[in-house]
Amino acid sequence: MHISKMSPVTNPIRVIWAMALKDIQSSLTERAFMLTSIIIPINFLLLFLLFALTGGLAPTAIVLKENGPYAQQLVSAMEHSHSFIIRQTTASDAQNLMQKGQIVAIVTVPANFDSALNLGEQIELPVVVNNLDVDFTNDIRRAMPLAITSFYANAFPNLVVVKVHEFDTYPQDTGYVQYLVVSLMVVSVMLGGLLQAGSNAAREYEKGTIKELMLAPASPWAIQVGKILGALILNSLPVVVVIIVIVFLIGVLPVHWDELLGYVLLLMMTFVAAGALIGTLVRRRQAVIPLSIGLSVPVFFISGAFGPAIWGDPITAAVAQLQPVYYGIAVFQHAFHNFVTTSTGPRVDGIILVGFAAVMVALSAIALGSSRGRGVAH
Amino acid sequence: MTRVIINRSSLIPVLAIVRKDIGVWLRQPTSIAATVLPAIAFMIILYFGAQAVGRNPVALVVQDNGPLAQKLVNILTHSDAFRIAMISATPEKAEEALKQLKVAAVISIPNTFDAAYNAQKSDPVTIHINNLNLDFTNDLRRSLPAAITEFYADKADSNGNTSPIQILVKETDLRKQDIDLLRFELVPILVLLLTTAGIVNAGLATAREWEDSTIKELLLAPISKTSLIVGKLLSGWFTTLLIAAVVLVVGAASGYLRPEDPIYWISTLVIVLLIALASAGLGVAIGASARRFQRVTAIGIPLSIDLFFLSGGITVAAFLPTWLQTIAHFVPTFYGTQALQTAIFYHSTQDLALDLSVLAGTSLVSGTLGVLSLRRSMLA
Repeated sequence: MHISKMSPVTNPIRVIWAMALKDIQSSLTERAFMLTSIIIPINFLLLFLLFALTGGLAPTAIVLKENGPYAQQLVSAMEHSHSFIIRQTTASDAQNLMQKGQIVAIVTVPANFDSALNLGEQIELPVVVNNLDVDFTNDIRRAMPLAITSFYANAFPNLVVVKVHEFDTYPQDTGYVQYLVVSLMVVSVMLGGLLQAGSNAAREYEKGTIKELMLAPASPWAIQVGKILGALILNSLPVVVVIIVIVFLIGVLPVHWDELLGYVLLLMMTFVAAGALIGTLVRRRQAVIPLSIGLSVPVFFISGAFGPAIWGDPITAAVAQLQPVYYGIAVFQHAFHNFVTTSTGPRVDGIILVGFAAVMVALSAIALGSSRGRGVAH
Repeated sequence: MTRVIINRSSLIPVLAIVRKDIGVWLRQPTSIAATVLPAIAFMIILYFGAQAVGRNPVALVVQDNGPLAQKLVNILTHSDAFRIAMISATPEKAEEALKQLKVAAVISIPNTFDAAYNAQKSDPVTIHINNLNLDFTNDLRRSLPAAITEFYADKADSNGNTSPIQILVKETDLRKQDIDLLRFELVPILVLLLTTAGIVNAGLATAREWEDSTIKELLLAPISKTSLIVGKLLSGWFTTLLIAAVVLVVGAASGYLRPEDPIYWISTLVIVLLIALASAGLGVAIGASARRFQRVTAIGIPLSIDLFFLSGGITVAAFLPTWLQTIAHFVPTFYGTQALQTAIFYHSTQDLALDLSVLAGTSLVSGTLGVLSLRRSMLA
């Protein structure tokens, strides 16, 4: 009844729809950028996956100068130490691989290995390490003694009696790539949303059309909600592509499809609204891209992309909990793997995300409204 | 004489273009932000990454107060593979902490630990792992056996027995010194900064002439097209070198990026000059083809990040799968990163000739691309 009395122009639903349509049409005329905004999030997804492929395992050559049972058991212990990618080679091939940078360590099992152990004599195991950086080198330094202890625990059970008995929270292990790809989905949604909505908002200032929008008899809330809706629709294309890549190409199937779809929409809304806010504040499309990338990448890293953030540095974990990516990763990990990665749990995380979405929409509308107050000259 | 006058007369417009472009760049905070933001983002990542490496919180349940159990507790407490977040005698408390994600694992030393060890019977230490992903899980799987290894490593235990482990690791390092993760990764980030600065700044400076329609004035000015092209290339190169100079001075002053001998300083500077030139050439090519700021940043920044990742990026190329290492060998920034790391950290000229050849070739190709692209756009 109230709506019907309003003039057609000020009807908020019409304003929202008109703004959304206008933004979609404007974006479709800039095909190069449209394509870029699809490619950048997928590009990030694939690049970070490449990083995950290292998996922390050291490519190592083993040169066996002795083929006895103890030597074979040592190789087996190294293979099961979760630390090495083993290649059995000759000494010259190992040197060659080391020179080409394809391996980082050479372990040589000496000719008298078995006989020395049978006699209970001490024996040296030469290990050549390409000590490029201390992080990877220390992994090898730790891994060699533990492989030796594991070897002893199996080969000489009466000598090494202290053993590890492991049991796990989840029935099966989840690969690093399978875990990381879910976290990467959040950064892809974030990047896509920021780029699309940020550019749409900044375009109004660059082209001067913001003056017309501000002078129109429409509320800034309706205008901004319309812009968010337009960017949401445009952003759905890269998000669908990312989901297809994760589910059908990488093969990570969600356990809860309903949660996935719901949370994708919620996160898209949050980041699209954040993008609209950034675009309204910086008013330059040129600045939106570096700002979006510069913001997404570190936020993604501190938010528990590789494992629960609360297991890391306490200050970083506290900062991470102040922004939506932390909760986004948590709800996606639950949707895909049924994992709980925050102390609050997925239900509370979802509610917090709703709050973030509402705050972002409100802030972007207020920022647009303040443009009217401050004047729109750029 | 005439040739000298011609050369001098073409130098003035080149310098004018360089001065104008650098002046505009310095007045454009968005351009500076576009240049440094990706590198800063990766620096932040590295900082947090270096802090978090392999330090998962773990709860320790100790039910045996014997000397051997205490010796193991002491080793676990001082382990650099994880940090002990709580020590308790009650398993329920620790399991509750695991459930609430306060810890990533619970390690339990049973009340029969000392007795079983002394009787040379099987003596299991249990670990309950929250196996969310293999990266964390494998870190934890490695860490407890590593502590047991240390437990056995002492030549004489409390009973005066020698260690049963007779295999001694004899380590030989290929390089004189170990470089910590943060320092090691500063080099790829410097290369990222150089490529972003070259591509984005030279690209924006070129595209600006079309965006602001000043290209018409430049084309109508009584200067040769060669002067214009050289000016654009040089301005992109100098802007990149300006940023590189700041990073190198700060790096050398702080000691993080300081080549030891003059010879390594020279090779470092030559490598930086070549990377900057190659990036600036590519930037001019992109700027002349794209002719729009937005397109330059949309192409330039992701391209720089792609090159960064494909040349090893935030990891060590040797740890990548072989097929990925093969791809890395076709990425010019891989040679730049390798050459800088070798010169700055390892004080060596190993593979320097190859690295410099690849970088010089890339500079030539990208410079030619820039010239051709700019010439074509000007004619159009």
